[in-house]
Amino acid sequence: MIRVAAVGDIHLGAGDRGACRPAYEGMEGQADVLLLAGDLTRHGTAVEARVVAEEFAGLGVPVIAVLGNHDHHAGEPHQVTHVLEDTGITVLDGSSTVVDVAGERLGVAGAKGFGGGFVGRSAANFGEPEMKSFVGAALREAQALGAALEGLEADHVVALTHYSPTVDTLLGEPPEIHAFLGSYLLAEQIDAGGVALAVHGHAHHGTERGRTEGGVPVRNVARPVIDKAYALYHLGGARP
Amino acid sequence: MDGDPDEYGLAALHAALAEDEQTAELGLDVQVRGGTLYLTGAVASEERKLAAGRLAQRHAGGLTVQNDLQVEHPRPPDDAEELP
Repeated sequence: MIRVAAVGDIHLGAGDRGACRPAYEGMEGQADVLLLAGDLTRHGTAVEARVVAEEFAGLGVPVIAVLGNHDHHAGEPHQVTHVLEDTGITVLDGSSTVVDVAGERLGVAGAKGFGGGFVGRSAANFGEPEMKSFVGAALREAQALGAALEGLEADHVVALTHYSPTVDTLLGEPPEIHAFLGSYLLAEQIDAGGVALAVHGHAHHGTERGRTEGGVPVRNVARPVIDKAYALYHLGGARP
Repeated sequence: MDGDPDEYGLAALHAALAEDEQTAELGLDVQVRGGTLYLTGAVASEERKLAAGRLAQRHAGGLTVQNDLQVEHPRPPDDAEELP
């Protein structure tokens, strides 16, 4: 059994040093790994990333993250990634990592994901360049997640994104904005990838628990949704 | 703003809450009920609650602003969900 802690949307600002650390101290007694589901910063600056890095450094468990839309706002996601990785946080962007937990291998494939919408209510790759650019980003992110899942050798596989792969976990959000909160293209990759658990953030008014079309459990761990420092999942079974 | 905000005024406030560097909050809600502008949602600190309240006040025209934002105090979970 592997104990997975996960939270998204912590939105730390430059003045938030020390703000959330107390809630994470001692978490190695509860969890084997901590997943951060994007929107770690408020504006996506390197200065804010340094605050995030310090808050999550030396927790005693591996910390694995994807970036969110806020982490891209300042236009320097590579610096944000660099600062986080400098303190030992693994940042996934169409990539994967494997953590050994007492002889069991936990594989985590991660990508930010993007909007685009859900089956029957999604944006089409057609028309103006702006629309093609929007849908193209969704396609690229889904393909990046699929590439990260492909060939991932592990006993349990978790898909980590910022945007949602399903409408289930958007319950509570206005349906009119669902197309900005996630994409079914992510779920398509998750269902093909032998995934045991999919974790995302982004939808602050959503619901924690849902499933993909293929039945993979999806958990929205945006902090306002889980109302805790992190949610905790015990993964017990083998990779299907 | 002169006068009470109409639907467009509320949309402008909603956009400002997301786009203003002092707030950068995309998950807040704004409603007018009975002549009062209500600000709802969750933020990470008292300072951010006040910043959002100040921004709402600038868009409120003659309305009273009721700042009902909740400040998160996240604690570690008491239990775990068992998954296959």
